[in-house]
Amino acid sequence: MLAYIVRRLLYTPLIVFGVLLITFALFNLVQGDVAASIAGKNATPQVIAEIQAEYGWDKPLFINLPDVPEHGVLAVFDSQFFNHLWNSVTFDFGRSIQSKQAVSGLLARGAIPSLSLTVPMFFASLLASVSIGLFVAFYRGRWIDTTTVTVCVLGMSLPSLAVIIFGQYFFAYQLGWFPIQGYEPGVNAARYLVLPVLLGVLMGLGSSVRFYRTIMLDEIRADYIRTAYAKGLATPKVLFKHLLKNAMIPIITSTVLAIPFLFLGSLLLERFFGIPGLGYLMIEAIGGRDFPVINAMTFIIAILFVLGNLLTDVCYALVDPRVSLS
Amino acid sequence: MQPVVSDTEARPRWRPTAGLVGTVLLLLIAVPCFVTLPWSVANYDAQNVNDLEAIYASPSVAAPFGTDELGRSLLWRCLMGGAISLTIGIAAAGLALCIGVTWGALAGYFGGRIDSVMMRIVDIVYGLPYILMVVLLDLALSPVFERFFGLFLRDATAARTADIVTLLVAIGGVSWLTMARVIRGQVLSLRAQPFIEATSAMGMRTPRVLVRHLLPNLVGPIVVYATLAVPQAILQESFLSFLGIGVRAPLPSWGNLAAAGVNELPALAIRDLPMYWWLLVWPCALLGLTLLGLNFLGDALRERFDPKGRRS
Repeated sequence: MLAYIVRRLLYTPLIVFGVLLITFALFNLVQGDVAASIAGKNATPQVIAEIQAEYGWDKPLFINLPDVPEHGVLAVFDSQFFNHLWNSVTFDFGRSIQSKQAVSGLLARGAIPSLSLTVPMFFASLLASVSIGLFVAFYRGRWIDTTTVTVCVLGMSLPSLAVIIFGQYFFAYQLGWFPIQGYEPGVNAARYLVLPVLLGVLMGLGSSVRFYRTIMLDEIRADYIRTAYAKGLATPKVLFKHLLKNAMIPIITSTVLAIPFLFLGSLLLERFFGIPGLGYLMIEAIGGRDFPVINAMTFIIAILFVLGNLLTDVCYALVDPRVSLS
Repeated sequence: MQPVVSDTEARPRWRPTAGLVGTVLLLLIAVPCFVTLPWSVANYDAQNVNDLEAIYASPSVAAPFGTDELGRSLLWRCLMGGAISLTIGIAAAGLALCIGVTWGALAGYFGGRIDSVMMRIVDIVYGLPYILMVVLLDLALSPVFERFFGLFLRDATAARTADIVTLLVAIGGVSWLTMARVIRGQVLSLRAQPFIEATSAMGMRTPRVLVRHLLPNLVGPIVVYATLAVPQAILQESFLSFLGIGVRAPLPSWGNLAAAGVNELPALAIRDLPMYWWLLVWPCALLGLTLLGLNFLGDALRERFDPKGRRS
């Protein structure tokens, strides 16, 4: 197992390298003359050149051949891409182009509101959809099952925008149960986060209940369930001990890989509830062509994603004795 | 003696199935959107004049859906927006299917090193935030398409067409990954079967094997995935247009019409401001009904084509 984990970890640099390469290449295609736009309208060419030198944009994109005779072979790597690679790997993300603040600070400040929105949302939704899925799979074919499935399809078809706006209007404005929007750091944040979390869970519930119901149905028809009943086990024991344990593999597959993206926050919810999180930061960064910010977020997500992949495989082996990782 | 049961009696009574309901719903929405397209395009230029009397009119006989901040009839905007949204959704899903099927089938068929390189690339793109990829692709491609359409269209039309095509290529170009994985898995298992072995024993060429023998066996997963991909792409379009990245005003799409409706909502903290609810309700309702139709139809197709009956 340890050997497997080490081998998988060796893949990590490859994927992270690929991610950095793709974002770098795409961004260079898109970027335009950022130095000129930073310098402003009336900038002299000299000022622009200074800015380019400051950010290292005067260097070649990938391979720095001109510097080789002067500075030796290693100077090949003194290019925009390799400097960028090195900075990313050492977690030195530089400063935001828009706000001039350190990217690490921006991320740290945005991560707390974002994660305190998405993490409870993730667990609440997982718990709700797995239990509802199990429940309706148990009563498969009866009215409660067919009703739930129909409601799920209706729920899947509701645009999330409508859910958010209606929820905000009804529960916060009409009934006054929650603050309409806003955010406070610290424990008080909970007051502002309840409604967005509830609405977030509601928006995803339709598709995830259906997904887990299908998984549970596959299992509930299996032979081992009939055997368990045949040997006289009580229903709760069959469901929770036998069925749930076997359903773990598809559940793990679909959940663990969603975890890295929790870091991105929830764009719509953050926008409507005025939560200063990372989703918002990212959209602003894309709009303002703020490469340092985008790069930092992509890089962190890529690393989390690779780790999530690894974690999934390890979880398989832990849950299912048939899976071996060698 | 047994009573003779006639053929017609034995058949179960006809019931409206989910698939039929979905199809009817989709046709009811899509047909008007596309049929009226010539008129809504003609209206599009005529309606851009400001008419002070007609601004923010609530739904009436003259303008059944109400009018917007420029006095344009929302019904026409929704019809044209629907044509745009549906086109983008279907074309983007189609593009994603083409790329995904080709990629997955090639990787699975050739196997070995080619397979592992191709699938590593899929892994890498999987690790990138979806929304970021779409936006970056969109930004990178838009000048290319603008120049391309500028070659044979008028300036304004070229820019609009380029806008739409860029968006659908960006969405389709990012959402093929799952398809590629599914198809590769399928091809790997098909390749081990005797009939594929027979084709190489017969000395058949690779393209012919891929198209004539592998592709027909992949129809099931392709249909299943397509039913998921179309609603997904329509949602992506509306989401991006909502963020101001997708279809840009004045061109309508359900996403940016809804976004415009949201922007016209008064801040909830200030009470007693006029509510232009129709600006938000119609595009959202049309979007929701379309998704409902697609979901129903998707379920029915999946039941028909998925041998395991596995629905997700």
